[in-house]
Amino acid sequence: MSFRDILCEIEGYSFAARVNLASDFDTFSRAVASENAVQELSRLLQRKEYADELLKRTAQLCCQSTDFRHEHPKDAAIATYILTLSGRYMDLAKIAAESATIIPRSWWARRAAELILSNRYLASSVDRQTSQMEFTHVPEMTISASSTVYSEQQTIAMYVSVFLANEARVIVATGIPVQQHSRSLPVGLGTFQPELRVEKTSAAAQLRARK
Amino acid sequence: MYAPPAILIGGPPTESGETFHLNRSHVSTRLSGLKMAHIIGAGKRTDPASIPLATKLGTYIKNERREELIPAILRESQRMFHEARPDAKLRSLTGTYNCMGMVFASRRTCIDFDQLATILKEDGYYRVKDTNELLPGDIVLYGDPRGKPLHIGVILEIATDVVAAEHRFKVLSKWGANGEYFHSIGDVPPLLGTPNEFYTERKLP
Repeated sequence: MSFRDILCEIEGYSFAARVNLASDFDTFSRAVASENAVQELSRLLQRKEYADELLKRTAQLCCQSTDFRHEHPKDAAIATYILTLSGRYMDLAKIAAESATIIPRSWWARRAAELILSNRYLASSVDRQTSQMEFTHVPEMTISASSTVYSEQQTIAMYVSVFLANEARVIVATGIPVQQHSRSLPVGLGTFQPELRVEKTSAAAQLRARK
Repeated sequence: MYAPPAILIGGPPTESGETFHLNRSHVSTRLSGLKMAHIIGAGKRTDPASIPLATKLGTYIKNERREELIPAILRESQRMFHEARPDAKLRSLTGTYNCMGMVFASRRTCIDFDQLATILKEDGYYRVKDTNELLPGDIVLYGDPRGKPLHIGVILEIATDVVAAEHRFKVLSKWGANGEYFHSIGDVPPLLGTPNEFYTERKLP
């Protein structure tokens, strides 16, 4: 099964119906783990590029606009992706979880996010790193919500992810002015590719920008 | 192209429109506030998704109402379980309550299994060890081999099979966020476990 086929399976209605048999999160986790597609996905995640793709897909799903009368249709899939990522890449799982916390009308995704983020938000390694960051030394770079930005830049990716999930048009990264050059929001599967440009900007440059 | 409304967080926008400079604590605080409202205290009294629900002794029962699943998922579950378990009869198809909510909250909300012990104790339930003593209205608890509760249902009908010398129980239970089914006691998806305990709250003179 290809990576794409696996995602299609996990995001399908049959998968949702099967794992929604669970009445509590433990049972849900067990149901998810027993799915062939999830086991296959977990194997594929040995390759880092698939983990990046999965994070990207999770961010896409979190940003999807959905029918306000119903639960998020990909709720089970998002929760599954967060749990699967957490098995191998906890930092990526946290980024995905941050996005999931603000999905409206979610059930399992919120619980998965809570599991990943509980008791760690302010004490995470990402936060510890960030508090010691010297932002003026951040090189010019282009990031997107879907790209994986490592080490000291993780928090930036995390915040971008969170803000995108909240459908904010203005993207803010901590301590760093972010110039939004272009972006498109999800219209359908695979069209979501916001590009953000993070620039090292001096105080003088900021003043110039304001003028 | 869909363009969502701008959500401004933190300091005022610059005239260039989309460049901001916020300090870390400011962003963290705002993000934390945004997040905590959703994931901390779920199901407690303060959660707007909960309803007032208590045991007979007045202890609050944590609960959370769930949004309805999209019709496509509900229909798929109906199709799937009809194929897999043709003898189970669908009574109702909605995702807004779970099996615990069906039994203990009149189908109004979802209750987690971590509330079960409190409910059984404070609502005066006691365990029935002899299945000959069971009556319609008693409850059956399904669990895994280690006894962890996974599912709960209400016994509706008890028939005696003389040839097999056994009782046959008809149960009504809610299968997760899928349908509510009439089914024989063992005819549930494997994920819901097997029937391993029975309880009643019957008071006899």
